[in-house]
Amino acid sequence: MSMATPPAISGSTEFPHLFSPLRVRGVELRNRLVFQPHFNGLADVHGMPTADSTAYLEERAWGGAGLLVDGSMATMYEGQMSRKYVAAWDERSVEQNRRTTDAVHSHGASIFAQLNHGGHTSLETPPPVLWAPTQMPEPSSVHTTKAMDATDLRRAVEGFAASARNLANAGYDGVELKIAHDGLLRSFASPFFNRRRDAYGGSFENRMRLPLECVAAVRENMPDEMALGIRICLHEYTPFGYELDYGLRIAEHLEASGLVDYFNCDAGSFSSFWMEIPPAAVAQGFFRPLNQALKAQSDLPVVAFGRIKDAGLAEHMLANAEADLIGMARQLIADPETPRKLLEGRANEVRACIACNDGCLHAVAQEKPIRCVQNPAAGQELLYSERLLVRASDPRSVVVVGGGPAGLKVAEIAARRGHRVSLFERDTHLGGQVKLGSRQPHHEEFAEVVHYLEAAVRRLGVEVWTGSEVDAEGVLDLEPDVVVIATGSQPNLPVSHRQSSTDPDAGAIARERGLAIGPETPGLELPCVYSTDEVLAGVALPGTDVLLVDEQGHWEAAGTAEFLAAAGHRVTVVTTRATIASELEGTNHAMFMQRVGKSQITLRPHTGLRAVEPGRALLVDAVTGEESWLVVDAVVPVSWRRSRDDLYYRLHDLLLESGSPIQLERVGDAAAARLVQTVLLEAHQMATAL
Amino acid sequence: MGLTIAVCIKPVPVTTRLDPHTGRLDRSVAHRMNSVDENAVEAALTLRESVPDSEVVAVSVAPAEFSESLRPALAMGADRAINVSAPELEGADLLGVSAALATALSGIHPDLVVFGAWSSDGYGAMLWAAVGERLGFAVASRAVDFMLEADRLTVTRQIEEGTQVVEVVLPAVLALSGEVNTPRYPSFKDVIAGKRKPIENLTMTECPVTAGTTVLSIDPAPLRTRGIVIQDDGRAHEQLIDFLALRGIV
Ligand SMILES: Cc1cc2nc3c(=O)[nH]c(=O)nc-3n(C[C@H](O)[C@H](O)[C@H](O)COP(=O)(O)OP(=O)(O)OC[C@H]3O[C@@H](n4cnc5c(N)ncnc54)[C@H](O)[C@@H]3O)c2cc1C
Ligand SMILES: Cc1cc2nc3c(=O)[nH]c(=O)nc-3n(C[C@H](O)[C@H](O)[C@H](O)COP(=O)(O)O)c2cc1C
Ligand code: SF4
Repeated sequence: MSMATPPAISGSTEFPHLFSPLRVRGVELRNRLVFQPHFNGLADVHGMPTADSTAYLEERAWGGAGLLVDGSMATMYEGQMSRKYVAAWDERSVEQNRRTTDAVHSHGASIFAQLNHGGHTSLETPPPVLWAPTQMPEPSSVHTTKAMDATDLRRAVEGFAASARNLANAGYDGVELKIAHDGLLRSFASPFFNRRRDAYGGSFENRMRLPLECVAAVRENMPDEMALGIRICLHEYTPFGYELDYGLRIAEHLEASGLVDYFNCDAGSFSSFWMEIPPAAVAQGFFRPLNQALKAQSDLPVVAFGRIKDAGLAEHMLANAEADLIGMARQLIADPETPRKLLEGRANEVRACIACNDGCLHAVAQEKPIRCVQNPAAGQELLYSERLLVRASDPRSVVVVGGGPAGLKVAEIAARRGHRVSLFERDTHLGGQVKLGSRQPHHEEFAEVVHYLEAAVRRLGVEVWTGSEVDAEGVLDLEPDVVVIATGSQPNLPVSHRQSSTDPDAGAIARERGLAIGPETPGLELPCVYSTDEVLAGVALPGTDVLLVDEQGHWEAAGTAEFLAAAGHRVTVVTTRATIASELEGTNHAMFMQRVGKSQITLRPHTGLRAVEPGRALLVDAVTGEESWLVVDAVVPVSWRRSRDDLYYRLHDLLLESGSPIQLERVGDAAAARLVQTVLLEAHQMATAL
Repeated sequence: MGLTIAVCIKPVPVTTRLDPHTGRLDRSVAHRMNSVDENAVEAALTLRESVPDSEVVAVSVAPAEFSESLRPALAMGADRAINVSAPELEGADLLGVSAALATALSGIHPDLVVFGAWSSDGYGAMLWAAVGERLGFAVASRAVDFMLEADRLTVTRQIEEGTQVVEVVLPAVLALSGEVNTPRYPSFKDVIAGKRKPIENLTMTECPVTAGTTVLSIDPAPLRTRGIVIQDDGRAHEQLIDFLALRGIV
């Protein structure tokens, strides 16, 4: 997907600072936007980069970023945090890495690589033994470590040296050493992890010895023009770790060596991993004071980091001299084209990262290839890059029923391909369940899923009809070529439940045909039972005590418990699983648990709901089978939702009867209730096949 | 006999994007009905109810490819729609558009012409005055409330000091003040019905008045500090004079 002449992505009236070039040692960066380093899980299990790795980075170079930092990559086998960490020390990685740097350069961007020795920290498949300055596990981990001896220390330095040589051969413009939220070099620098009494510990200077030796080894093993940077953890945010003053001292010491060309800010630690890759509950721009402090002390270019996704904020930070470069990891995962759009006066077309961590971090933490909730192409650019969209040779008229994420995505992609699309939504506003979800505390940014899609379909001239509930006969009257049913899902409550009066029962046809089942717990039809949709739509619950049954495990359950607690209820959350909110991504789960600890929410794992009676619920211990009654004013059962598929079946039958050639599809929750990531991918796939 | 109520619709671009290189408004984007025109349609539909056998005709002056922007008016309940285009109208100004609109309107012999309060992409807040003038109709502007009885329209107007009630005799132009009502959402059936109603595309072979000025670029709000750019193609002085003349400055 390379292009012959790289476009210059610099010079903008709206964002003059963001789009001004900057020289870092011998490297001329075309603008100030940095694609931050992140393990992407796209290498193979032997640590060899793949065509997917190359396409992933190329996409961001095409999208206009000034600098990409590839990695982290491992410096030696014993430091390979996951089998899929690119084995930079191994010459066999050079060939594919060279393809990556060539592809990136062809678009006019620069590319550095980040090197890391994993030290005592690891992901899914750690090396057989973990190395550390002093034998002890990371407090949040179970793996203890081997205290390194003199040979290990020498080999660690050699690993950095060999890796730097390979990276230079592969055509990288610079190397960044990670003394950041994980890894061996940070452990050595840390007074908590490093308790040695030899030349590598005991005093600040001794603790900095190994990091400096590695820095020197990297500098000596690459050409003079290549830049050398440090990703530096400025604040560990743990009760036992260091804080900003010490982080700044590390930076000062490294800068004094004269070997460093730039700093890339970072924070957090494995025991505070929610600060490494902060979810939406951490405010945007939260880390600005750290960036500012380093910038104030250092003469070197400083890359700002952390929850920066808004171009206005980024521009302001540069104008304010808070940093020299703006780091964005997830924003450019979610929309690789962000820089290009900003430059072309299309800022309102940018697709925001929603800081959910569900696609990116959640996947790679399990050694799976990186994905993104907002961007179906992330990590699979070779299949789904928006650059691969082709105009339909035979433009068709497409009717989309339902204006949730699924219907909107089909409409967006179909319209981009030149089809004539009309979209009908029965509600007066687009968004479907996303509207409900984004009313939950700490979940507001979820709404940006729909902000992007709504702006896109309107811009693309999709005919959007809101407040318009579609029926089967009417669809035939429209005489479309294709009908896409994206009518979503509803809580699976009995037909006799109050819900049916506002959201008519869906799924009757499927139930009749044995294709779906209703809820089987007795008592769910009672007035004291409330659906999540009712709760989030603002229906006030009676009394104080609410039982929330979490058989879903994600935001619909966890966020609704918090929503109720914020409204003043005492909430007991039960699940038959071992953990409440078991499907929440780790950083979100950690922060949820922290908030729960401070709120009126009681968690009871291994507990199921057996029946509801007015004023009480019968609970069962999922392990022992023991039953007990809980006195409650209201019950909110959150389990799998049922597809709103009546319209689909009705149309299906009508089309069959009439022998109509209309193509009928169903997508999103209307096919099976899920999360946005899979729904959007499915919608993208469907629309590219129309 | 019932009345013919015309409602004027303006297709506007869905996004106002400036080409960062030329500084011109990107007209290649999709167009939709100007959102305050929904209030005008709603008003026209309400008025239709007060005199039996009346009809509502949605009228726009725009390139033919934007005529589908009239569809929401039909779905809401307008009886038919007419779009008038003329090659000369490309980039036309108040003079040109008001002349074309007046000509198109006189073709349907309206008793009442309803306008929204403004358009999101231009100088719409003056158009109704110019059209009223050309048609020789009485004009009631900045209406916050109105009532039709036989051929008399009682209008509550918003003025600096508060409100004022006036009465006009038809034929008249009624220009609304802001979002005075809640436009109805067309049901799915209405949408289907709307799709079946005709949009007549007329081409004006002879445009009564062509542009007095040519708008060469329009700057959207975020770049407020920049003025209108007149690009010199050798006639810049004339354009400048036209520009100032239209605003009564010279
Ligand atoms: C509280 C809550 C929190 C959530 N949080 C997350 C999260 O953090 N991350 C995540 O990935 N997922 C989350 N989800 C799930 C996510 O919202 C769904 O996966 C997604 O919305 C499904 O999209 P959809 O378009 O298929 O269906 P929906 O969002 O249900 O949209 C369907 C639309 O079709 C409309 N419709 C139905 N029938 C008709 C008809 N006959 N005519 C016209 N229109 C019709 C409906 O009004 C609705 O707007 C959450 C869900 C809830 C309820
Ligand atoms: C999936 C994922 C993996 C990451 N891996 C690394 C890494 O290997 N090295 C590193 O320095 N930072 C890593 N990070 C942290 C990012 O560089 C960045 O600091 C963080 O995501 C916060 O910035 P953002 O809000 O712009 O995403 C990772 C982030 C994500 C999302
Ligand atoms: S998965 Fe979520 S957090 Fe990760 S980049 Fe995509 S939108 Fe952002």
